[in-house]
Amino acid sequence: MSLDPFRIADEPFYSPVAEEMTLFEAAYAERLPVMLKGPTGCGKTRFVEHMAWKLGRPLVTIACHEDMTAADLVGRFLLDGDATVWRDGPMTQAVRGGAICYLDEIVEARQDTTVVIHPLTDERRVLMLEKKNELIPAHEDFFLVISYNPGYQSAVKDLKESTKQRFAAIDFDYAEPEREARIVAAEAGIQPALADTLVKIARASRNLRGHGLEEGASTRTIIRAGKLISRGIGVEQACEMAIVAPLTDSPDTRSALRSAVQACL
Amino acid sequence: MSGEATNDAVRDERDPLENELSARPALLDGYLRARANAARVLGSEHIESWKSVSRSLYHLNAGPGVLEGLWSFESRALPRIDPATLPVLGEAVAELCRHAGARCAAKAVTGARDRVPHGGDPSEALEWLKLLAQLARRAPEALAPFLGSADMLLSRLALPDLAAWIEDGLRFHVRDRRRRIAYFRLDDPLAHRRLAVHEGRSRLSGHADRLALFARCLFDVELRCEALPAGPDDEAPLTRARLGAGRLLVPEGLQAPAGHEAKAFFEAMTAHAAAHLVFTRERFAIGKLKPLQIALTGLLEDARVERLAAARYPGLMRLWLSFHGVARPARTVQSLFARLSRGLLDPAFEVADGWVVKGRRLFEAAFAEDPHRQTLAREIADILGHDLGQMRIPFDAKAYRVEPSYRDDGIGLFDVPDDAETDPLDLMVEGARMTPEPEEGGSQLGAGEDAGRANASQAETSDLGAVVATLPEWDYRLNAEHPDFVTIRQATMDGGDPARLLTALDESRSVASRIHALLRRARIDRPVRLKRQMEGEEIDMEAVQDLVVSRRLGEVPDPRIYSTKQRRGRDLAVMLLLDTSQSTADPVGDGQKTVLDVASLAIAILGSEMEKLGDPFAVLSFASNGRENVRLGEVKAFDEMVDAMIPRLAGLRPGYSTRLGAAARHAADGLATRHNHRRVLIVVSDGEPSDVDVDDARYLGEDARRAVLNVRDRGLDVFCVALGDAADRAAAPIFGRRNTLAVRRITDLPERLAALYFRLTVS
Repeated sequence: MSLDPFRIADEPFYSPVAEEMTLFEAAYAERLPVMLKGPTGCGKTRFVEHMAWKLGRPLVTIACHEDMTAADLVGRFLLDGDATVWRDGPMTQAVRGGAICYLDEIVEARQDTTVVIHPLTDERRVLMLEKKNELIPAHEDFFLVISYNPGYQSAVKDLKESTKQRFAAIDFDYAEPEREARIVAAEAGIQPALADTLVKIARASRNLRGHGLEEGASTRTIIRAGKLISRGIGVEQACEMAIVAPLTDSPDTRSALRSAVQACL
Repeated sequence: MSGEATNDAVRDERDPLENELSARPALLDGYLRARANAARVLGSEHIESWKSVSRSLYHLNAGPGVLEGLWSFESRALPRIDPATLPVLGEAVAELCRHAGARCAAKAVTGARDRVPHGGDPSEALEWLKLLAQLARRAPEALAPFLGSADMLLSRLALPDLAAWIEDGLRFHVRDRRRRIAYFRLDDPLAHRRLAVHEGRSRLSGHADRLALFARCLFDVELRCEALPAGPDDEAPLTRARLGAGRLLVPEGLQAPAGHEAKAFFEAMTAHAAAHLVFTRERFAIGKLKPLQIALTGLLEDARVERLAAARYPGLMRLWLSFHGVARPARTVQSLFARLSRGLLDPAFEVADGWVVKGRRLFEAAFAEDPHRQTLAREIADILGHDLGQMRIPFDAKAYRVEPSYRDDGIGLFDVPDDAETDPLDLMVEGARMTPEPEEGGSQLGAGEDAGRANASQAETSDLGAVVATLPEWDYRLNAEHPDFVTIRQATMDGGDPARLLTALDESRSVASRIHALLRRARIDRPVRLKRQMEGEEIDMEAVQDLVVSRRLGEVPDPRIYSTKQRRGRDLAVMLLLDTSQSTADPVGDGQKTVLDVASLAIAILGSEMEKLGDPFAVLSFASNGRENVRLGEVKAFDEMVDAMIPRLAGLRPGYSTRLGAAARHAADGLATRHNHRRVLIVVSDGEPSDVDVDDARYLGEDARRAVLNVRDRGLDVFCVALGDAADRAAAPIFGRRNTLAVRRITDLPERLAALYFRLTVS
């Protein structure tokens, strides 16, 4: 099974915050599994894509959800006529083919599911296919990355200690204003001045984190607002559509956000 | 009327009204003068329309008072009135005459006249007359009392808000003529409350949360906006907001603009205060500063923080500037300060005055050098203050108000020493005495009657039972809640003789066992995925593999290849709310038992079964005697045993009324604290809300409906077990037909409960 569809051909835009590229490359060289921590929409996924492109490895991304079972990760027998055929799951493909395997929002997965990655993350570097009674040694290029949004932490949804401690962590946060504005301008294709304004709006909304909002507007959100604006939508309307309305349903919070948008214009 | 008009009074034999008036020379004289005046202003094309207005009013028997009032109104208004609106004016006056009588109409018209300056714009007075005409049509008796309070009302409300206030009065007292009059005479406390609402004073409370978020959003600061009620013997109430320690106290005396402008006003006020919190790093030492210097320092610091804030958020400047008017150039402190304030913010604002120009130049230079140097305000204030002194422009510290009114009074920027009284500046600082903490909820208790009630309720606890809560009540006529309207009191629980109840319980043992079987089957908890099931919504892939493998191996396959989600285990808390009002004394069925007897037995059966199952439950009884006295009795608390409940159930006696909404709200407050997966409120009632102080048959039903909706919004399930022969008809509109279970005979109860639990299980 070829992993070519998982290769990234064009350079994904990424503007480094600090040392994260060097850190990631070092971890990759040592094949130390990496955990990317940071709020939603701050560029974790984009960073992995960029690094996969830079390192020339295929990238297998798995979005975790709470109904995901171990079989969804490693594979299962399927019926083919009268025969049963083993079909590798995405994780197994990555292990065999030497891809970077990216488990997005790992806390969403059930804890018993995440345990299957344990043998992959220590010196053994093997994947156990229990159903098939097979032990797959990982390809030497196989690399495991997970993302983890600390904002979600709760008694129900948190990583097991034993899982956490198998990873080296790189912290992410929203870029500082100037750089975030550059990212927004580049991604949305808008004027730097407008990008500045959008970043200002996003930063204002992030002040409400924990005071009416779970999370402020992410870089991704304001890039979307920027794209709407470049399609000819008015700034206020675009912000309403991409920022205010998706973030909250509370009338007071909405009203405060709207006033903040107006104050930024 | 001016004397010169008489000279123009030409007789016109063809005017029918003139002929009719010939017998009343005094009125005729007035008419002729008015006609001449109208002819001069309106010209020949509109004079016929004018004549027909007077004529039709005369035919309506309007009387000389009205006619002369109208003519004098016109003598002021005509120069600027749109001739096309003349019939509208005529119709409004006619309406007044028709419904409220000539005397009232005359008073209304002359009142409207006095609101028009000579040659001024009459359109507002015209609107006023139309408003009065509308009121006269809908509630004729209300017009006279309304006219009596009109001056006060007009000084406080803009016309559209006043119209809304009138509408409230008419809707609130639809049928009660006496109370309607009281409302418009302002004798009704509700009139004052609605006035405060429309005036925008208590509107701050509606804005406060939003404003706190707004401040947090812009500057990441904690700023709470609180309404500051004026004390009863406050000689000099605050006229501007006061900033201090993360709080913005907004005095009631502050004239906030009405309607939608209030939103922008409060935002401007909040943004300004937040800018101070961020950019005014330390307070100014008050030292030996003169009032003038304090005022100027405040003004310059206001400008400095606003400029800094606007550099970050340009939209704020637009917001603030919309409240800076154009002051007439004058050599007064008021005009100079207003122009300086605006000049410092608005580069496009042109001023010629040397003092303002100098202030602007100094500020710009210092601001350009280092905008964060706070002392620049103090230094420039010294120079400008000195210049004002040289110019011999007097500064009246007592009359000084910070302008525009969205800005705080500036006292919060200064370090006021404790011995402020000895300071020569005590006039300025006088307002700085720290106002005591506003009473909890004091801002909501608008009228004196309410305040008295709050005090009284504390004093009377011994007679009526301890006050445990005050709750709002929904008024469908106003489409609004009355805050803190209902007082919940704890009813004393006297144990009764349980013998009879125990006997009844014993007799219905077969019923109880059927209920027990039903309850055990009800499974209420979070869904769990179950694999290898005989039936289900999804195919269990692993099971299918095994099945195929088994078949090929020639084994007997396991047919359980489905997976499903199911609720297992039990995690629910139930609160039973039992109506003990007088209506529950009615006999049911064969007349041997009352509604309350049936209800007590039902609860005793259900309670014992639920205890066997380990489901936490509580029982409250309720009855009410007016909104001041809604009594809730704790028959069983969550952590008590059923045995404790039986004597209390037996001791319940019917009495008083059914204020269902308040009881449901209070019960929900108790239930909401439980941490169970499912929380169920079951109301056992004859389902007809009523109370002694309510004569509107719909009112309490609507309130109860609203309360039930609110309780559902909090994630609780609400059901009603309607007892009695026709009770479900009253309960269904409140709880919804699907959530109402009619129980007429005790033998019906298991079936009804089965329906209830079935719904809990499958949903």
